Amino acid sequence: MYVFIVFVIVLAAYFAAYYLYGKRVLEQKVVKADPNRLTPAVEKFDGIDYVPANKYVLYGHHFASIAGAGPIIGPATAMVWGWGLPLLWVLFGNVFIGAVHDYLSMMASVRHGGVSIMSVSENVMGRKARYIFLAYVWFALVLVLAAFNSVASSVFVGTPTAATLSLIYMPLALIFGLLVYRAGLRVSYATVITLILIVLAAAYSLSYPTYLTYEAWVVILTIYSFIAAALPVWYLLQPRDYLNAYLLWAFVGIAVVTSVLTLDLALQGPIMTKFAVSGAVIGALPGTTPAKMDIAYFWPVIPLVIACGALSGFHSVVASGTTSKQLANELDALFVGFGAMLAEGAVASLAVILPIAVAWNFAGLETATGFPVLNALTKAGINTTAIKEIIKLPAADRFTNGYGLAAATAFSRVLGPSPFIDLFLGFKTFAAWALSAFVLTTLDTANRLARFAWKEMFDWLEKRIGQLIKR
Amino acid sequence: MAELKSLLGAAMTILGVLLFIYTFFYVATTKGAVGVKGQVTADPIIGTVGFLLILAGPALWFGEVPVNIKKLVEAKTGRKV
Repeated sequence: MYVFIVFVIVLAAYFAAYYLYGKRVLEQKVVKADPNRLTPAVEKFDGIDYVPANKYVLYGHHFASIAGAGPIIGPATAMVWGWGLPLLWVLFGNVFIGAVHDYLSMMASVRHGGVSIMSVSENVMGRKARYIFLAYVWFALVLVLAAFNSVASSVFVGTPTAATLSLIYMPLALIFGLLVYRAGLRVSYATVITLILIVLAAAYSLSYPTYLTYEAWVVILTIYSFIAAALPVWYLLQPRDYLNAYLLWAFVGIAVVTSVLTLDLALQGPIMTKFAVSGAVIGALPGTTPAKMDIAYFWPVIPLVIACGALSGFHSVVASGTTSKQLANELDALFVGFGAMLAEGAVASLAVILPIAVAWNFAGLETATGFPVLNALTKAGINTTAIKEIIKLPAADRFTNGYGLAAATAFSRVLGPSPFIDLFLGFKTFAAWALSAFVLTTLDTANRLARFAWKEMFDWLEKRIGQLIKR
Repeated sequence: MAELKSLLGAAMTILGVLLFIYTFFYVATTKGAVGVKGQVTADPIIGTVGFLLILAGPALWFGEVPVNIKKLVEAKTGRKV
């Protein structure tokens, strides 16, 4: 199987899904989106959470919030079944379940005044259901915070140059916001200035790693997510997520260019390993019997492994939480809700599954391309004598190394073999930074959503206190 | 109260910028890295404190809703915000 075939199938599926299914069926026939109806962002404007945003800004926010680690770590983990089955699930689940779910939950919230999907449920299932749903989501969000904090901390420990870049990137997003909102600079000029600064910061960060222990990062990121979730959305969230959209397009763009430049390359990985794999994949403790037995059946395990890349209930909490409160026009919703989910599927298939399938066997890739793959990996600290296949690495490392190797292979075909190792290290850091940027965004969005859920859960108390004060 | 908040924000921002520059541009370039692998040292802690101050400081310093967002909402709803 060649890159070309997979690439064409993925692109055709997403374009057809957006225009034929999303636009013509969901937007025009199901939702009947009306550009003249006031959205909650305008109607309930409060300057903190209800603030209308440009659709590209909101797209960046929504994508970065729903993406997190799911579309990257999930498919990277699922590669134990080979690349064919995960790809099939991503395409099917993404188009027919995930994207529909995200878009409709956003519009349900918009038509209910921007309240969360948990409060929308009151209309269909009653008041008790609403509070049970709110309590469940609040606890689930605490788990999401813990999980994503752990992923971001691991990425910073594993790729310390990505930590430096992430810490410099955030203040640059603030500078962008201040240039536009305070200095009154045109968005296009501010974008160019900030993007140049980000590129310089990326080049600078490659030489200066930031070292801290995993535990220290967990503490720092907890404080970060608390502060970031309390700040007004226009101040950090909107400018950072506007820039996140560029990061996303660069990230997916590099994956697309990589695919185009390697269309004739054969995939090193198997289309399918076996239908049932080791229980370790679904969390069995190492060394125990379940971890050694093949009990992880592709179905029904796969929706749990590839969550965000194909479908995720968390997305409805984001769509009806921060996103629905910033939607300026109902016609923006398809692009933001449906489009961001398709982009997430594109990330899973083109930026994770395809590169890992290309770089599956290190020696095989070196033979097929003639580039110093083994030397590059050794320079990145990987013992290629012991680890001969990418699948032997932890999931996050499969992604960063797979992305780095595939992109370095593609660009070295144009630039020649000499910069291969530098290209690999650069693209690997870029991949780790993109992953951490999406994870950090999800981290503070999840914190903000937990605040919304908490507030909605105790709205009855707020009303009673209000009445007591009046008496 | 608003002035005090603004002053506090300004102080946090200036201190944050100084700590951030010291860590990520002075320490990084002189030592080749911020911190030591596998250890918690003062440099990255100073840098991240600077980072957190930069996040929170300007919000207190310039803490009001931007005029163009206000204008957009006023134009759409017809009411003053």
